[in-house]
Amino acid sequence: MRHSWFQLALLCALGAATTLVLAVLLAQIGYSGLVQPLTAMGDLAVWQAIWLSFFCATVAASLAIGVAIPSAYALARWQFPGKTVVDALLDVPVVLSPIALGLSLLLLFRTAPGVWIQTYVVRFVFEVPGIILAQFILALALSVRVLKATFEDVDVRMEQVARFLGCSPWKAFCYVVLPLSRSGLLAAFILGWARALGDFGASVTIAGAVKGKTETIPISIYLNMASVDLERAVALMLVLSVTALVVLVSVRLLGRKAV
Amino acid sequence: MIRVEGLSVSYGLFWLRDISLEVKRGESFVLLGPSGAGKTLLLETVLGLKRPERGKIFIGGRDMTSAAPEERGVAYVPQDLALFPHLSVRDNILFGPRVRGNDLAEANKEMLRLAELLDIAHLLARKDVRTLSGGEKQRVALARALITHPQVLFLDEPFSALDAYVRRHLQIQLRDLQRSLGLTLFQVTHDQEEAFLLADRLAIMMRGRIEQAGTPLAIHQHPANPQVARFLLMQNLFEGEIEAVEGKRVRVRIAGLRFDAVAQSEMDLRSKAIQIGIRPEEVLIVRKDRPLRDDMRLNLFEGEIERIINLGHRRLLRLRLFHCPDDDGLRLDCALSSRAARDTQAKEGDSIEVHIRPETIVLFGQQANLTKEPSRSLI
Amino acid sequence: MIRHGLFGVMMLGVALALVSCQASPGLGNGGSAKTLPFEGRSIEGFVGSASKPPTEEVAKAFEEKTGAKVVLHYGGSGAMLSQMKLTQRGDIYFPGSSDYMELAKREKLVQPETEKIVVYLIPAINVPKGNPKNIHSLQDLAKPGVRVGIARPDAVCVGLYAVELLEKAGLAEQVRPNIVTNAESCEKTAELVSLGSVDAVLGWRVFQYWDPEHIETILLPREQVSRIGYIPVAVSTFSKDEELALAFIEFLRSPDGQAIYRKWHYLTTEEEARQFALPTTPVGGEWPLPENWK
Repeated sequence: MRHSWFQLALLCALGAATTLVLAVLLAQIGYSGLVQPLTAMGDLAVWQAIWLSFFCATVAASLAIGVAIPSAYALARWQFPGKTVVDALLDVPVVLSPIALGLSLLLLFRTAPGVWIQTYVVRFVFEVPGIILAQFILALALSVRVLKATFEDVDVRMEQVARFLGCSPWKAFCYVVLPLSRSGLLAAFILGWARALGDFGASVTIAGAVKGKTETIPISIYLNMASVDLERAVALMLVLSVTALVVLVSVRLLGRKAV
Repeated sequence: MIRVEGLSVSYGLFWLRDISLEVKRGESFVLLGPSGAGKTLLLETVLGLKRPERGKIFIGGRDMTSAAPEERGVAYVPQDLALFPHLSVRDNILFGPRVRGNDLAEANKEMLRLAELLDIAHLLARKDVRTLSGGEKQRVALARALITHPQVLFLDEPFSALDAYVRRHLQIQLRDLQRSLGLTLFQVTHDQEEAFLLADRLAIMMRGRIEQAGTPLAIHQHPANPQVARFLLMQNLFEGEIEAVEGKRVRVRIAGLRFDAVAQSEMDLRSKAIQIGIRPEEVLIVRKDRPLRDDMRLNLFEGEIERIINLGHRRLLRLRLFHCPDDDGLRLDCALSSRAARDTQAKEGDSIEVHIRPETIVLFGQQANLTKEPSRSLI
Repeated sequence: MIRHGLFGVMMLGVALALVSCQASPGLGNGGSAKTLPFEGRSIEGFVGSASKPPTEEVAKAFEEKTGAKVVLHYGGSGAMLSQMKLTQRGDIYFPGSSDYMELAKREKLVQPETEKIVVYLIPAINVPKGNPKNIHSLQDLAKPGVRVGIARPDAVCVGLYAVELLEKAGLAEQVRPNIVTNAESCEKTAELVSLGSVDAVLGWRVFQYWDPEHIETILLPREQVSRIGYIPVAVSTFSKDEELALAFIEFLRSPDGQAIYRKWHYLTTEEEARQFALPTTPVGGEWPLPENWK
């Protein structure tokens, strides 16, 4: 069967995208070889950084989804004056460079309410909660965007019918909207989690780079590059890429089974 | 069972103003009107999906104007049915009872009973509602709605997406179900035949207003105004002059022809101008091979057949009636069953004689003229 | 068949475009009356941001004087060296401190014999302007409740100097608990003070002049200055125009160049630097980071 130009173009695009990412990964292996990354895995500091990265990203993405679901639903279903502005506001964190976001948070915690929070609730500056906060904001912006589109795709008539069958708005949301949004929910979480995991600028600005305390893998990579230990930097990159890849594939497979 | 008083609701620039209607318990009520008339808007407002600007809605005697959908004790089947694609047929039907925390054994029994009534017992094992045919989906949606024993069942264009055969079958089935269950039905449709089949009482809605309400028979025989008449396919509408009035009998002159009609209700016959309407089915072609009866001498006209339109089970004849053959004359539509058409052996170009019974001519008083008003419809 | 051919032509076209996009010698200036010595030539430098403001000015002056084009990349000293190493290009390496130059020499990325000292750096305490926590000495950094920041000692030069200071003053154990954060670069260390995120950092004396509105330098007593730092410059091993690179280095150390650095409050002679330390204080060199700080 003859393929059309259109299909050829599609193939090229997908091929190019995949090749690009693979090339990036292969370049890493090419530079550091495989021995370096394996030796790096024997270093406690590396494990600390891995654990911190995954812990913060998972907590941040989970919290973000928790806030994003109701926010996106409200945005999808309600009409109110200023809705366009609110919608755009929630995109701002992604537009801001991550360092700018970190800086803004630092400035925030210098204000009176910020100081109060730091004194009586929880310390963010130079602490792990700061990393989670910065990543949370980034993951939130992305998740809301994806989920708003997902919920808008759910026919509102379904919810209406569910209401007449006896559902409160809450039950209609749980029993009808959420099940029909499964793939969108998964995509939103993955997107937020991946962004959180890879964050450098915002995390390092608000939490500093204290070894064993606030040093995530991306921060580690930067520090190694800053001391021109490129082999180590690349080894860490590989460790990050491979572990993240394993997690992302597993989540997708699990998600498919659930559906 | 349902009482609507002075309801006004807006949607964008479209307004329904001051709508009032009543539906009795156990009655099958149909809201009939062309697309864009505001029927769905009215339906959604009575359901509580849209908030009215003014007016009250009573269901089962209680003021439900601001009640939430789930508090109204009614069921709703929208035009696209909104079956839940992520649930099986059983789970769809049992959704209501489950959500309300009802006894599932009871609910199961009820489901089986409804499945028998609706002829879907063989579908209960199906997992994916998307694989059902149009008619099957419709019946599952009905079962899902009825299992909650609603006070009223609301239906929006219930059968519009179905083929003619399935549609007819389901319409009759629904009518029978409604009668046997004593269900109160509130439906919206733009299909005349469907409305007449399903309704105990009918309301004609056009351009945001209820133009007429009553039994299907009454409306059919005496449409309230020319707009309603045209919608109900009484397309022989003419303007004429009153020549003489004698008690209830009125003589109207149109295009040189004299029509004798009988005024049905109190009418203002003082002015000269009047409009009349004649149903195509009431235009009787005089058979040349039969003797002329005495009562046919009134409203006897000469004319010719200009066109014959074949609708399958019916023929529509476009006739030209005239006083003299050279007149422009009056163009009239005549509807014949295909059997009658066969018997009269009518052909295009034939000259014929036509009789119209005086009591079948509908008189419309001084009202809006026949030219279309600019439509403020939704579309 | 045609499809393959067309694809091939497309790739050839792309390849040609890439090849022809090599860095071409800069288009000459619109004819000026006087021919300048290095007209039409250019050099590329990797510079630590520690000396960005004055270096920008110096580079511009050099361009005007010689007609050459000077392209400078600014960033963390280590990051800049990494870039130079990976891209295998550049004429000048101009890091923010001597230990990076040592590293560059070890990696054979610069020509050791071309190394020259441009300015000198003195480690000191930096506090937010107004000195809200009343810090006047290293000892004060050990006071309870004082929040101290230093750069990462294993990655940033000024961090290593900070640790050396504390260890040699015998105050490491006391001050260490107060260290709440490590900055990942020289600039970030100064930023900690600018934003008031900490009460004090151990940084360079010149930080104050980077942001006089927000940063105040508290000088250390001369005996506590364990090492005099300096900003070195050298010609890289990848240089394509060594003559021009050397000329630029000369200019950095010329009276014109040094005047610019002095304007920005950098110390340009060893004598000036020694005024903040002892005659025996080493200049540059290396100091290994103790294990317990790694």
